[in-house]
Amino acid sequence: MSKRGEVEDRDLRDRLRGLRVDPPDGDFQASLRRRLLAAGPPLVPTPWQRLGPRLERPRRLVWPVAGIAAGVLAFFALARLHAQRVLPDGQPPGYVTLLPATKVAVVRLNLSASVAVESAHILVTLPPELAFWVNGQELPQRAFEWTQPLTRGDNEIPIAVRGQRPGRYRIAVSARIGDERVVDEVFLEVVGG
Amino acid sequence: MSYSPGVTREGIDDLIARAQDGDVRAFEELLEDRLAQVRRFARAFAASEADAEDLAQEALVRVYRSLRLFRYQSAFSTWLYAVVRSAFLDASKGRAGKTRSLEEPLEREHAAREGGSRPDEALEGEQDRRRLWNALRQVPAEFRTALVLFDIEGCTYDEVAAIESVPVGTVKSRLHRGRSHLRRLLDEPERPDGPLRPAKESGTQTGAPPSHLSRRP
Repeated sequence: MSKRGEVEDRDLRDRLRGLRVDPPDGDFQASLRRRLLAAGPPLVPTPWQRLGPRLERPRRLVWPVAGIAAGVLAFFALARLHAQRVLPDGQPPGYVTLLPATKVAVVRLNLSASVAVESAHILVTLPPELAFWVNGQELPQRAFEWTQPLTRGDNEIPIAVRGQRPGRYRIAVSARIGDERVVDEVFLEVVGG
Repeated sequence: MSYSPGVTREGIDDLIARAQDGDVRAFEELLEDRLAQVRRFARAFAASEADAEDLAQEALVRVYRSLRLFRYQSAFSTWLYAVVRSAFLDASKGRAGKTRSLEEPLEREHAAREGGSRPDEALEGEQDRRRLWNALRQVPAEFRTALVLFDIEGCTYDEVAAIESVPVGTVKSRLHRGRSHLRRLLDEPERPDGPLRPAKESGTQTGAPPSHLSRRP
């Protein structure tokens, strides 16, 4: 605070201190007594009020806890909405992707490997209502299989599909590495329009 | 905010216990040293003297009725101020706008208490206090409470913090902001139609002193 500000502050505080003048009693006390007598004796605290001080600390936590709970709920709600949202460029397996009928969607399958694999046999199977889409053309086959190496971590496999008519359809994905076989699925919901 | 030296802690506790059992006289005794402060506090939340008295009494009745909620976990005066403050805030929400038009000047007796001063000085003092009270009533309530308790009543930071249930840092910040707000209000010229208008109808003036009373050099 500047020198001038300090002086102004002190001056204001002096003026405020000057307000500490006792008001004349008049009939204040007599009137107060009448009101006190009319009001009746002090109220007996309710059980809730008795618990008041003990609840003081938990009550202080109510809003933060409510905030965190709301955050968690919002996260789950958004996750659910996210799963149902139209994402034409694909989704990880297990999610439901909305796809307008006759439109092409790229569904990104993700195979996660804990170690690098030289050769994995992958099979993607579509229901009859979905078709693979390659180079602007619909392929007649409903299953595709190939062999490819997998790197350690996520391995994204994009496939383009097109829905024929509205409905929820399952895309099955399986990967076989030696004797081990992993099966996953992606749901695609074809909607009108 | 301590009681007069003659009243012991045991004496206060005894008064509280009796008042909690419905002894009005014990309650009055308990309030004896606090009445003037509560009444001044009420003036900061009321638009008129008459309203301030009513407000103070209303708050004190609430204190009396809530007395059994006092559990000796803080000083009685801290608890009293907290209840009174809460009553004032509730009332000012309900009364906002209703009482603004009822502004009245300070009572003449206040000027008469300026012991030994000349009439013109007393009048100037009265005008200044009136202007200050009016400006104070326009300061946001949370800042106003801190200003009244700290600057007028001389409570400590810790006491104000306990009454308002906020940290000391918040009290300091409220005081700083409250004073800035108040200074701005006091710097504004008085408007005939504003809240700081002169109360011509009541026989006192808030503007320049009457021509027959000249300011001393």
